[in-house]
Amino acid sequence: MAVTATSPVARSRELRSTALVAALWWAAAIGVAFFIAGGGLQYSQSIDFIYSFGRVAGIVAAVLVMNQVLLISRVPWIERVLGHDRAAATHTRMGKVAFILMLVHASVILAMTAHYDGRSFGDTVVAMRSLGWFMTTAQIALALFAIVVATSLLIVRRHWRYETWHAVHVIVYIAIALVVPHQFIEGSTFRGKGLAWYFWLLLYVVTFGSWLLFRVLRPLVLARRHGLAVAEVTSNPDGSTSIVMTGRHLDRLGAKPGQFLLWRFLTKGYWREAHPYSLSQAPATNSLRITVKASGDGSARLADIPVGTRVLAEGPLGVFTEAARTRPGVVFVASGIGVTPLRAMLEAAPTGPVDVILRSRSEQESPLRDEIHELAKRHGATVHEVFGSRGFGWASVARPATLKNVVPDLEDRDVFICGPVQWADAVEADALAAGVAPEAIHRERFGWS
Amino acid sequence: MRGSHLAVVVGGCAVIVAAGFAAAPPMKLGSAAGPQEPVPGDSHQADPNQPDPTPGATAGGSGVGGGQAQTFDGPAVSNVRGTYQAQITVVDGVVTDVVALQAGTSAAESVAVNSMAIPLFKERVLEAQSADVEAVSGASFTSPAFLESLAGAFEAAGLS
Repeated sequence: MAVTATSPVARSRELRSTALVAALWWAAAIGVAFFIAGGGLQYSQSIDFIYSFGRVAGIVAAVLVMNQVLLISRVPWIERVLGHDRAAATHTRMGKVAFILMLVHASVILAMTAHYDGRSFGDTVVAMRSLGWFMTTAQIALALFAIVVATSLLIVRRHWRYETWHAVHVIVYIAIALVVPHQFIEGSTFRGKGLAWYFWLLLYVVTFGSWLLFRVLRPLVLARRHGLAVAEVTSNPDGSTSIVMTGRHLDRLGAKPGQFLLWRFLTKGYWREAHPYSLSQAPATNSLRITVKASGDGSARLADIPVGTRVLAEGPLGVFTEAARTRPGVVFVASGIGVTPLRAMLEAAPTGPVDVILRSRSEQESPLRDEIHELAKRHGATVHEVFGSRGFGWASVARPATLKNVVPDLEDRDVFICGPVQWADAVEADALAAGVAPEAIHRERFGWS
Repeated sequence: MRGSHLAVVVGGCAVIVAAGFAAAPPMKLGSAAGPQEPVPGDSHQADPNQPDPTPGATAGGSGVGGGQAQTFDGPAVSNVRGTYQAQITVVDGVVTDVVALQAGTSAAESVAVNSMAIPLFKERVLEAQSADVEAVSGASFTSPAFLESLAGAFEAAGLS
């Protein structure tokens, strides 16, 4: 009999995350409500409604873009409630809607203005610029957004490097800076300092304030406080690289085993990009360790990072911790380098019965294998290893297995899954099929943001 | 998103937007003939750049005495928000009325802004008896164009 009763922990988190996502959409509704209350739907002919629709599209797009910035601002309450992965997923979803609405907004406004003024569409594009510099910048911004969306699609399709995607994505900040002025100067909702004006001001201040505070200022303050620097770079026999960083008062970071940080190594060739890596050891007061395996170009090169390199860290991030537990026991399921957060959690001695399932191509390629075995022995956990090439589901040809075969009391366990997305999907499907409740399944996806 | 989540999102949005509707002014913009209502031209087309030297509808000379009302049209002034043209009515050298022969476009926004701005201009001009009045805030495209046309109308009336 599957346990279906929802635990209080899971339920309250679920409630808060639902409320948060709902509030983000409500903000868009508030923007529209202010527009309507301000007489935005006033018309003299019914064709005017098309124009109003174009304006509504612009308003919703503006709120959604603000939401997107807020979602990736690493503001702690969002990271705690939604989790980094879900925040990133919501960010992406809103981005798609926002971009479509931007296109609708620009084309409807241009077409309707052309109609009212008796100009051609092309002439209207040019005429709009005589409204002021902010219309020129808004048009440039639209072009930039289009470039970013187009390249993002190409990157996903062609599997370009994370670094390329990241470089392109940064253009969005320029586009936002260019598009905001026309919202305040030209958008009629902002004319006159009514309640609407304050609503928009609050939206912008909270959004950009959070971004500035948690993505710019906080990493700098942390760098100063902790003086984090690379102390040791070790190549492991399994092909992975462990990097130990030392610093002061690292306990004040509040990192929990299972969490990750975004690391930026301040040396030539690395400083531009921040990469998400889980702590591969329970955090200590004066040192943190990550373990990476060559996948993207960035992680391959980390083996060459000079000792002494200063490090900026954003985080800790992620809800993949002991605090997410909802069941008496636990199963850690890891594939390849996905073992790192689970290795850190295992070290912190989780309560109840513990099973660790390691999935790897071969024994030799199984990262941190010796450490896992040693920790398991110390804390009375059972390790199950599944080696060999891919079979059906998440296991291998050599050892077909289901979670239920491996761990008979699966429904009394929390299942923590970390590994490549497709593989993790297969594990999750197996767990659900075996009757594990959705809230007892924990996954961490490293979002690209 | 699960069904219940969707209901929360959509339901909340509906309530918020409904509140917006509740607070909204009447949606249909008055089409009753106000002073801003573009009056069908009285046959003559103004040269956009030159003040119309000829008095308008009512015949008459220099407009002194007789209590005869005469109208004078300013030039039609265009900008990106449309074309604006002022007409003043003068009785015994006193401006008694100000109307817009043309104001902006038929866009709802334009109609709304001009139906707010033109009556204010009328008020200000009648009080000052001059085209040298303050711009209307919130009508940043109507103001300079309409004032320019007004100045032309005053000139045509020999009042400037």
